[in-house]
Amino acid sequence: MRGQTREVNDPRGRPQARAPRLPGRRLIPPDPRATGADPDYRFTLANERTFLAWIRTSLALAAGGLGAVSLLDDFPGEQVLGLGLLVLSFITASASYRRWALSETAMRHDEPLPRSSLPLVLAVGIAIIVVASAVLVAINT
Amino acid sequence: MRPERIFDSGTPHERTSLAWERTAFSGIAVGLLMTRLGASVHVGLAAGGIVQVAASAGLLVWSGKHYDDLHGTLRSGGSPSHPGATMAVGIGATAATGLATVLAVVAVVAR
Repeated sequence: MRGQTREVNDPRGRPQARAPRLPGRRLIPPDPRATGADPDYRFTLANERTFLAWIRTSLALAAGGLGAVSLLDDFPGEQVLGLGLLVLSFITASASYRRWALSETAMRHDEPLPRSSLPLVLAVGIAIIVVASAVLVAINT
Repeated sequence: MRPERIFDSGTPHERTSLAWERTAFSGIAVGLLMTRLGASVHVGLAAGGIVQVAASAGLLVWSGKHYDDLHGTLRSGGSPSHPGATMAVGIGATAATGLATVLAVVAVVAR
């Protein structure tokens, strides 16, 4: 069973999907099952696996940060590396549920998935942290 | 209801169940690291890590049960979506990573 398709025509006559009906800017979106229709179950499970992959990414960052603070006693960039990774892990974990709920809501309305800035934030954040750690090692060696 | 044969060729249900279990393993590993770091500062600070390990072990058990439970739902055409579990894991991971950050700050300051 699919949700209602909402399409408009562009000047070239091709169907073009409207922007998804997102549940506002709430920090914790409401239960996605309240609106729309159940999508193909494979899409629901794929969205769930993506959410879990984000959670594991967050936990891997936390493990790296805890390991850096616990084990790298002689490493000059230990604090920057450890605390930086832990802050990134918190940001990733706190954004994961919202990302899942917005994608689930869009799928239930048969609309395009909303874009996320989380991958870019994560990539830039990790790059800054490792470069800062390397600079600290170079200065203190 | 557990069928005797897999009913879909792509096995997305099984792959999702494995993803839940891998997430639980990751949670246990982080809990053990939190326990170690907390105990190195003060034995009482290990409690947060122990709670994280216990919660992740609970998630692991739930994952196996959820895999079995969903067979009936999927065969009857129902949705496998479980917003309650998703929200619990999202909030739990946020709390765990926040606590890990606080523990790390305390450990750095205590040195």
